[in-house]
Amino acid sequence: MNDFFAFLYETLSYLNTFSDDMYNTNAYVPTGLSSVAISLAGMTIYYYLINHPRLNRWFHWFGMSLILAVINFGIAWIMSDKALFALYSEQGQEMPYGYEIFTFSLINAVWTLVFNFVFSMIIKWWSRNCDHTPF
Amino acid sequence: MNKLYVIGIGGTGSRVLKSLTMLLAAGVKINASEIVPIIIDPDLAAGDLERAVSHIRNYCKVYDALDHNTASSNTFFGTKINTSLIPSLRIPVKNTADVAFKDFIGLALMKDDKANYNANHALASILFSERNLDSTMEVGFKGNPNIGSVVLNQFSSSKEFKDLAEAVKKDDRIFIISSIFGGTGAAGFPLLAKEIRKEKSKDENAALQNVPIGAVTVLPYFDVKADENSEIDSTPFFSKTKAALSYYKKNLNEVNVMYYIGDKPSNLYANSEGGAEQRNDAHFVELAAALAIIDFAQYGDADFPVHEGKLQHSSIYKEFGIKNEAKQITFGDLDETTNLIVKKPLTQFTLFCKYLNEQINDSLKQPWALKHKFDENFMTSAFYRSNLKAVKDAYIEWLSEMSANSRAFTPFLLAENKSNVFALIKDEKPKKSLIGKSNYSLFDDVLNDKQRNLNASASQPQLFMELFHAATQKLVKSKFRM
Repeated sequence: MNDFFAFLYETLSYLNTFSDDMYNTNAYVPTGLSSVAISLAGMTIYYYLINHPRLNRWFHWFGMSLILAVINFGIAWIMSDKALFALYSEQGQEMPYGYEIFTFSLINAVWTLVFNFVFSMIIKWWSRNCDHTPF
Repeated sequence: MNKLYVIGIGGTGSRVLKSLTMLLAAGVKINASEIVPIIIDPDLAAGDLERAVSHIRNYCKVYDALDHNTASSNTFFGTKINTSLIPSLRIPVKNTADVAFKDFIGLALMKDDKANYNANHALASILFSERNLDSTMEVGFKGNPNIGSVVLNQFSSSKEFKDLAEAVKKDDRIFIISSIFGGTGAAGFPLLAKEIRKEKSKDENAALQNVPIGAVTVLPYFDVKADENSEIDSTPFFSKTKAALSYYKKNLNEVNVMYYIGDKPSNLYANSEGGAEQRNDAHFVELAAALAIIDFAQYGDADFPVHEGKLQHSSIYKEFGIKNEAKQITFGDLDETTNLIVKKPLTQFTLFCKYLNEQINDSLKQPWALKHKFDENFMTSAFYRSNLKAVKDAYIEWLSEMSANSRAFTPFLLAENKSNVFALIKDEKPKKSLIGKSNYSLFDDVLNDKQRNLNASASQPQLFMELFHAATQKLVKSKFRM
C-alpha cells in the first residue's frame, strides 16, 4: 500500500529527500487512506445525505469537491509534518521541509479531486436528485 | 355505461360544460367511457360558448396526445371527450340570424282571404309583446322562453340532431343542462326531453327513445344590471322560475333524474343580451351542476327502466347543498361526499398548474427533466406550448373567476408564494417536512424520485403527465393526508 500511494504522490512530483523520508516512515499510507476515506465519505454525504435538488448542478458538486480538497490539503499537511517532525526529532535535528510539505499537501488536494470524480462516477447513479451531477 | 351525451343549452349550458371539462382535466372520475358534449345555442358568437368550445377542443388535443393504457396511473385528462359525432359541438338553430321573431313566425302572413289579420295573428299578439315580436334572435332569446319554445321546436330536424339520434345506443345516456330563468335553456330543455322520448317508427333506432335522461336545471343564481336598452331584466327571474317549475311539475315526465341547483343571487353581472360580451365569470353553482353529471353517471342501468319512451319508475329529484352557509366556500364548507369527489384531484391539478406557472422553467436541469428530455424542444412543442398550456391557463382562470365571484368558491390560495408553496389549501395547514426540503425543492425532489419508475417507452406527453400525476399524488398525501 505504501508503494501504491508513493506511486500516486511521486508521479505528480518527486520531492527528493522529502519523498524518501515519507516513503521510509510509511507516512504516505495514513495520509492517502485518510484522503480516500474523506473523499468517499464526502461524496456519499453529497449524493445521499444532502441529495438536494437545489444543490445538484456541476458547480455545486465542484464546490463540494473543493471543500474536500481543502480538508485533505490540511490533513496531508498535518500528517506529513507530524511524521517527519517525529523522524527528525529522534535524530536530534530540525526538520528541514517547508516548501515540500506545502507541495505534498497540494498534490494530495489534486488527488482528492481525482478521487472525488472517480467516486462520483461510481456512486452517483442511485442518487435521487444528483444522478446527473456533475454531468 | 358506455357514452354520456351531455347537452348544454344556452349560456348556462356552456358554462357548466366548461366546469365539467375542468373537473375532467383535473382527473375527477366519471363512470362513463366517454363524454360527448353538445351545445344548443342560437347565439353562435356568445363568449361563454366560445370559451367552452375552445376549452373542450384543447382538452381533446391533450387527451389525444396521451396513451391511456391500463398500466398508466395518471388520471389527469382521464376521460375521453368525443367530438367526432358533432365536430362543431353545436346543434344549430336555423333561421335565427338577423331575423325578427315576427318574421320567423310569419306574423305578416297571418291574414284571412280578405287580407285582414286572422285569429292566429290575434293569438300571437296576445302571447307575444311588441318587443318580443320585434326582437331579433341571432344572440338568443334574451330571457324570453316564450320565443325560445317556438324557435327551438325546429332543432330536432337538424342533421346534427338526427346524427345524435342515430348514434345513441343501448347503455348510453343523455344529460341535459339548462337554466330555468333565462330564455334558451328554459325553452329548450323540456322541448329536447320530449323530442328524445318521442315515439319512433320501428325501423328507427329505439335506443334514443329509451335512453336514461338526467338533467340539471339551474335556478337563479345571479342578477343582471338594470339596462333599459336591454331586453334582459333580472326582476322576473323568480316569477319565471316559479312558472317554469310549475310547468315541469305538471308536464315534464321524461327525465329519470332531475337535479335542481341554485343560490340566492348575490352578484350582479353586466347586462349583455348575447354575443361575445355574454361572457360571465365562472361560478360555484356551475361547478355544482357539473357534479350533478358525475352523480348521474354513478347510477346503475337498472335504476332507469324506460319502455317505449315511458319511465317505468318515477323520476328522482335531487338538490345540491353545502355543509356551511359561507360566502367564501372552502373545502371545509363542502359536504364530505363532494370533497371525496373533488378535493384530491383539484388539489393535485392546482399544484401541477402552479408548478408549470411558477417553477418549471427553473427546473429544466433537474434529473426528471434531463433524463426524459423535457427540454426547450418539449417546452415549445404543440402539446405543451399550445394545448396543455391552454387548459392550464383556462383552469387557473376558472378557479380565479370562481374565487372572485359571489358566492365565492375559494378553496385555494392561488397567488404565487414560492416561500410557502404548500400553503395552498385555504384553512388547511400542510404537514411539515422532516427531510430538509420544502416548497418547490421538495416538489423537484419528488419528481426526481418518481421519474425513476416511468416506463421510458411511453410517449413524452404521457411521461410528462404521468410523472406530474404521480408526484402531486405523493405530495398531497404527505402534505394533506389525501
